[in-house]
Formats: sequence, structure tokens, C-alpha cells
Amino acid sequence: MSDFFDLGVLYNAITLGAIYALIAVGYTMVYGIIKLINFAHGEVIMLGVFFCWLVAWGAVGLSGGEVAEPGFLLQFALPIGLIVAMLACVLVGVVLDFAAYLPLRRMHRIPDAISVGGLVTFSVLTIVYFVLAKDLRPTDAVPAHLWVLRVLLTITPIVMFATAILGLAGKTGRPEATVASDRLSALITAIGMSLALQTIAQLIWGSDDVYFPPEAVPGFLSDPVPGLSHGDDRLLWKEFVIWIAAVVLMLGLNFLVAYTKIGKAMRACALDKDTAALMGVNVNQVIAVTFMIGSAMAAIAGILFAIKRGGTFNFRFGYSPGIIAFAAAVLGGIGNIRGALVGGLVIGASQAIAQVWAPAYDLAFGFALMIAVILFRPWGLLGKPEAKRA
Amino acid sequence: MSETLLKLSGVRAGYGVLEVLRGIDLEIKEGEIVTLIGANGAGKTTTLNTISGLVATRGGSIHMGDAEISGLQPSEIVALGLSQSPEGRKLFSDMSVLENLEMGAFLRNDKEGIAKDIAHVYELFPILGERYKQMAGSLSGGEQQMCAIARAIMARPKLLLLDEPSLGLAPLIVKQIFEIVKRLNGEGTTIFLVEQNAQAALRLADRGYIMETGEITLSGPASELLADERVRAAYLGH
Repeated sequence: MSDFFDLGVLYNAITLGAIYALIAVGYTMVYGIIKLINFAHGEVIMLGVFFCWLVAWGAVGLSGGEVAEPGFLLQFALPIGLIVAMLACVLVGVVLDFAAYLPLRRMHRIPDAISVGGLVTFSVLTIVYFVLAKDLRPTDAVPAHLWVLRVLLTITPIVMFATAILGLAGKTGRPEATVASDRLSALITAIGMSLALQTIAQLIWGSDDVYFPPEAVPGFLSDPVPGLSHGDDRLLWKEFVIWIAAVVLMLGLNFLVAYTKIGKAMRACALDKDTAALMGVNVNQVIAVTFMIGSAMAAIAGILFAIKRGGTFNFRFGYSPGIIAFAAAVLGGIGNIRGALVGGLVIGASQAIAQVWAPAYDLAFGFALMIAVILFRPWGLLGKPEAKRA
Repeated sequence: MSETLLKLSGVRAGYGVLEVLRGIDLEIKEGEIVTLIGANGAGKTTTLNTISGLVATRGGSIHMGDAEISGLQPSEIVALGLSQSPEGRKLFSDMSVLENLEMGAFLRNDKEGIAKDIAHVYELFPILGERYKQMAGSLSGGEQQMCAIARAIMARPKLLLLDEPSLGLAPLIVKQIFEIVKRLNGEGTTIFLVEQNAQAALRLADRGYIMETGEITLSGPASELLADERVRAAYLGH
């Protein structure tokens, strides 16, 4: 621990960086096309972990406690859970876009109404959360007024969903260029969706920490990787898996965006949605695919992160990696996929170093770095300054 | 050959409280070059964007052949055989020339056909063939306009909408581009040309429409419009 630049710090930096990069890609791709910071992205991570966790416990249940000789199902519970969670999160991403954001892109007058509604709901919810959150944990005797709050918390997502459906039903507009006021309503809606999804998860799975069944987590994941581990500086398989996943997924994403038809359509939409539409691109479809890709990657990153951290998590799990990855995306240059990778690694490294020197401030360094970067390069490390209109 | 390809009847459209098109009637027949002429802010670009589906109609109808196309998504309208080269080129600046051309062919799946059309485009605009790897944003104004037209014809449209292809270009380049437009028309593409350069546009076109503050004020064969006193006074500088 005395050594500033030891192998352990480097390993930790890469592992954290890889996770943040995988999550940051989701923020940056969506922002690139619809100029929206999808604050609900962190909740997609959390839901992904829960989905995988459900599959893992399901596998344990189906295996009937044959832990001594784990069967096929139990051995592969985690990979199966990963795939199920990916698919489920793809669905969550699309539903999120269709229910919450698409109506806003279609509407031209109702967004103001929704944004006011969203703002009010959000303020109320914030007060509820920060003042009374502790009291909302399930206890034997819940006072009546807290039940009212619970009902409120339950109703909110339903109301938001209803508003969204209302918006869909009255589709009067065409997809036009996003104007500044629309951006604000979308942003507020995103924050609202983040809270709504957290609340739904809390209602379904409770507020307490849950854990992955140990028998479903292959033992080798906690073994050091031979050749890369020296003395105290060990690289565990569960960390190495994160590296592999990050390399494979980032290369895959790079190929997709650079060479495939949908990738070119995504780039075209990011540059100019109206003109992309004139080429025959169904812009809303491209946006939906963007949400799908970001959500799938978030699910993978979230699950691997949860396993690395010992397999314990709760409904708030997505918040912290989500907000850090958001900082990484901004630091690297929001809208730029390579920027997400660089930003993730920079924040990961700063956190890994800080964990040795000043563990209490491990996140502060990353955020300070982000602030420093946007002070001097508001467009981020790899971003480009936005073209000024004449 | 003289079937009606596109017909606008009483089309109204606008943005917010602003009404830009106040009942446009317009007709384009197969094989024609039709031009729409008007001053800045008359509503020419809005007319094209309404046809393409980027701007919603508030009244009236737009027919392509027998199909009503107002209310369709822009991508559905492209699929019916209409493509637009927008005002100010609007190239995808951070994508290569070739990628821009590929975007033009977005709805097509015939790989060989696309390759053939790219070769054809390089023959029409040799400079694009030389610069196919270059980012579109790094081309000169004239080259960008050529790339924008090339991109629009990659969709193999029945009807090609051109929005101010002469904007900001040197006379020699304008001449070159208009010659290409004529050649495309000769190859069977119907052209709807929006222009401020009335003289050049009317010399090229079969018929013309004159637009003022959201209304069609005059229409007829291009030769007649060229000779018309009112047109000469307002648009031809005589």
C-alpha cells in the first residue's frame, strides 16, 4: 500500500474504468442523438442486476438444493441471468423511450404541461425521499400517514405512465428538431423516470440489501488470475472478466457504429435528425435501438460490478455508478463514444488512486477532475465545441 | 408520360402561431422539370419540407400518384419514391462522401444496384469519386452541393426535390450543376426545383410557379414566365 504506483492500483483503475466506460456509453449515445441526459440510465443498471439476481435464485430453487454437486443450471445460472437481464433491460430501455421520451418528441404544446407536472411531482418526491426515506422502510407497525406517502409513491409512476399514454394518444405533431424548452421537459422527465423506476424496484423488492446466492456464483471468480497476480497485487477472475467484457463490447460497438447500416444511421441522426429522415431513416426507430444498446451494456456492467462488490445490492444500486459514469461521459466529451471510454478510465483511475491516498474522498477526485476539465474544455476531452450558429 | 406525379391542393402549414403556407395548389407531371420561384421567406423551403413530411400540414392534401402522403412519416414518403436535397446541402459533415451517398440509399437493399449507382454518381460528379474517403464537411461549397444532389439521387427517386442548389455558388459551378440536373431529367427523373435564381431556373424548367408570402401568385410555362413583365420586374432585375 505504500507504493503510489503499484500494480493493484493499476488493476483497480482499469476495472473501475471499464465499468464506468460501459455505462457511460449509454449516456453518451442517447445524448448524441436526442440531446437528453437519460438520468434513468442508472436505474436500468439496477433493474438489470435484479433481473439477473432473480434468475440466479430461480436456478437455486430449481436445483433443489443440490449444492454439493451443482448441476448445469446452477453452474450456468450467472451467464443465463446475464443474458436474460440484457434482454429484459433492452425492453426496459425501449419502454422507457416509448412511454416517457417519445411523446415529448412528438408534442409541441403538451410538453410544457408535462414538464410542470413532472417538476411538481419531482419536488414532492424529493422532499419525501430526503426527509422521510428512513421511515419508509418496512416495519411491523407503519403509521397511517406513512401509508399515504407510500400510496403517493406508488401512484406517481402510474400517473407518469398515464401522462405518457395520453401524449401518445394525442399525437398531433411531427418529429421536429428538438428545441431548448423541449430539452428541459425531457430532462425533468428523465429525472422523474429515474425516481419512478427506483420506487417501483423498492416496492417490489423492498429496501433491504439482497445478495446473489453464493452457490450460483462460480468459485473461480474469486481466484486470482495466474500470471497477472504478484503477491498482494492480485487480479481476480471476476475483475478480469470485466476487462474482457469491456474490450469485447467496446470493439463490437465501434464496429457497429462505424460499419453497419444502423450504425451509420445513428451517426447521421446524431449529426442532423431532419436530414436523416429525408434519407428514409426512421428516426424514432434509431433512437429506440440506441436505448436498447445502451441498456444492454448497462445491464452487463451492472451485474459484473455487483458480483465484483460481493454480490450484495439494493434498489439504490444504480445511482452511484450511474452518476459517476455520467461524469465520465461529460469528462470525455458527451456524445462521443471514445470519449466515454477515455472518461471512464480517467475517472476510474482517479478513484483507484484516491482509494489508496484518501479513501473517504475517492469520488471527490473524479468529480473535481470533471469540473476542472469542463472549466477549460466545456466540450470534454474528446468532444468538439458545438458549432455556433451565424 | 404526362401522368400527375405530385399534386398539392390547398396545402396550409406553419410553425407555432406562424402560418407560412396559406393554401398552395401545385402539380407536377411525370418527366417534367418544374420550378418554384420566390423571394427569401416566401415559403419555398416550407413547401418542400411539407411535401417531404418534415412539416405537418394544417389543411389541404398532398397526393403522390394516387396515394395521400400528408400525414406520413418522412421515411415512408422516401420509400414512395421522393427524395430531397435540402437547402444549405445539409450533408452529414463528419461522415465521408461515400457514407453520405450510402445514407442516400438507406432504404435500398440491392447491393449491386447501389454499387452501380455509386459508380454512376462518380461519373456524373468525378470530383466525388476522387474524394470519396474525405469527410463531407471538408469539401468546397460546390462539391458539397454536388454531393447533396448525388446523395438525393442515390434513393433512385421518381421525383427529386432540389432546394436552392445554386445558393452561394460561383456562376460557372451553377451552370455545371444545372446541366447535371438536366441530364438527370433526361434519364427519367422528374425534378422539382426551388430557386431564387429565377433566370437560370426558368431557362431550365418546363413550367414554373411564382410564390409570394405563402401563396402561389403566378404559374405557367417557363418561357411565358420568362417573358412576363411582372416576373421580369420582380425577379429578373429588368
